[in-house]
Amino acid sequence: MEQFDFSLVDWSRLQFAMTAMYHWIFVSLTIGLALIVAIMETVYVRTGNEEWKRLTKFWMIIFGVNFALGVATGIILEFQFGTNWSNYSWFVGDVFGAPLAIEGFMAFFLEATFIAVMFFGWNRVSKGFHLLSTWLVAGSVCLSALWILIANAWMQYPVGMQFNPDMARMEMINFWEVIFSPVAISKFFHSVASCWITGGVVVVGISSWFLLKKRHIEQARRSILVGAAVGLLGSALVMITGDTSARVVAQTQPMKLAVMEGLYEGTEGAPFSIVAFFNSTNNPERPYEHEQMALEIPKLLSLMSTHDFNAFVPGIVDLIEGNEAHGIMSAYERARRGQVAQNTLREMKDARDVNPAEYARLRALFNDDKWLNEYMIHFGYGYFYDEDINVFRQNVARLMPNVPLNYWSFRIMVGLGFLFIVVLAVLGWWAYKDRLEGKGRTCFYRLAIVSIPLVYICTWAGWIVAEVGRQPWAIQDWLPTFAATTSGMDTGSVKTTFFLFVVTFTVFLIAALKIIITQIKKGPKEG
Amino acid sequence: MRMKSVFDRVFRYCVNELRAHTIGVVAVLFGISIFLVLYLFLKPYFFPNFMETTFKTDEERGRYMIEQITR
Repeated sequence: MEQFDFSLVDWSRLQFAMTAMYHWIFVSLTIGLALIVAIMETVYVRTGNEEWKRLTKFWMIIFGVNFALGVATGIILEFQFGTNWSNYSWFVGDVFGAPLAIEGFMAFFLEATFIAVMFFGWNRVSKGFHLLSTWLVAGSVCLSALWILIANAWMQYPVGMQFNPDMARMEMINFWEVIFSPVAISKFFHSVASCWITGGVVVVGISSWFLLKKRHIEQARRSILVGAAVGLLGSALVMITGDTSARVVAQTQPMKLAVMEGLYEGTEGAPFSIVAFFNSTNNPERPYEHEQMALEIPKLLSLMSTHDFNAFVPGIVDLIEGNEAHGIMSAYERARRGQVAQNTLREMKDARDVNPAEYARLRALFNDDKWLNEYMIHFGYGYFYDEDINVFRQNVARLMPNVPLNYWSFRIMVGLGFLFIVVLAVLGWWAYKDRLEGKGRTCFYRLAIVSIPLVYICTWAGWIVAEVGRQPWAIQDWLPTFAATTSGMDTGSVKTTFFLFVVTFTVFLIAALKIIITQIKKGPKEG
Repeated sequence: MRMKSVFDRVFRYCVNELRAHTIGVVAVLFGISIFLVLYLFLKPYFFPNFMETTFKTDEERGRYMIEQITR
């Protein structure tokens, strides 16, 4: 692996992660607010009450600012696939490009068209058509997320494709398998529902600020009612899809599950750890080995990942050293087989012009299901292979994502998720009963305001589990992140553009916050 | 004459809407500035299209990629 420039890889990863985190700030609120605004406008159209129209317009401005910045940062993310990850883009372009293109043609055009009616169409189109436009925008932002998440899910669980050895790229052979993959379905509903929580928490938080300042009290009550309902609906959906995700991850990415649970030794009736601390044993023969102290609930992890209290859940050691009794191949064997697949591909390329018979023989292997299942499915592990066992041991440590980061990110996400349920349920209930101004409310208003930054930490933590947890893979079992970067690119270019993007995004974020805060200070009436 | 009137109305409509929606203008400027930064500055100076300029056909690019991914 010494031939790879890890400085370039790390800077490229940092740049992509930073852009994605900024992007998600805007996107999560856009998706959440779109539904809230659509519900508010529906109430306005049904009741004819102008207060609901004012509220709709107020939240629509905040939605609009986030939408614009979500587009701006999203463009840069897609740009980086070509600039920083061109090996990856070549390798998967035929599969990965399709959902991204559909997102552009279908969802983004729909959004771009009807958002104009939504913002500029008041008093120019009928109430019904305006409402339809708002709902179409709310639907199309979800549709946009759907195609992006299908593309992301394919990276985590590549299906519906075959490898073309002449072009060194994946080609889609089953579109439906790609879009209906279990990872794509659970990821879509989990992510969109988390955005509804974000929208709900932000609306309830800002409305609590109005209550704290004793301004726009009736508008704040109505906003809390809708925001809490959407946030709680999102919470319920997140819990259901979280349960599905646990089983899907257990089947498709067992290392991710082991890492996010800090499970080193696999066991039947695996416990779920509530709190754990990890210490490396500094064992050179097992660089992945750690000691841990944990507070655990017996058998819960087995239940979560298989719906069976006594099922076996593989740990990090099982996945690296293998476990014959449970049919788990060692990483060393997978790496050896992956190396065979890579050598075959290279020999086939070299034979192409000089030895047609040998080329035909090797080319035929890539159509042989037995050979594909024996060697090719381990292709990515070949990068970690080394004949020197000591070098291999060092390489194999890279097969394990960062345990404490994933472990704690998962717990932060879940813990904050429960906090938001309490905040939304209590304030939503008071809003429903019209008891928002009673005694002892102030601390809940403050908690709701503090929840605004916390909801972003929560969703970022979720993405850390999803994306750091799948390392070292850009495409699960096929292409490691370090082989996916642009060959021969200058690390200095990535460093320079990283800092340019940091400055640009920070300026954008400050500008967005300034506009939003100005609108909040004006409030719904004047907004 | 009639065409001129239509263009005139569209132009005035756009100007009036832009004046009325300062936040919308700022949002559009965000998007345009990102495009300008990306395509006029970053792309030509920091990210030259190596694959496009070095190889003529997809077949050549494919061979190069095999070398890259089987290092």
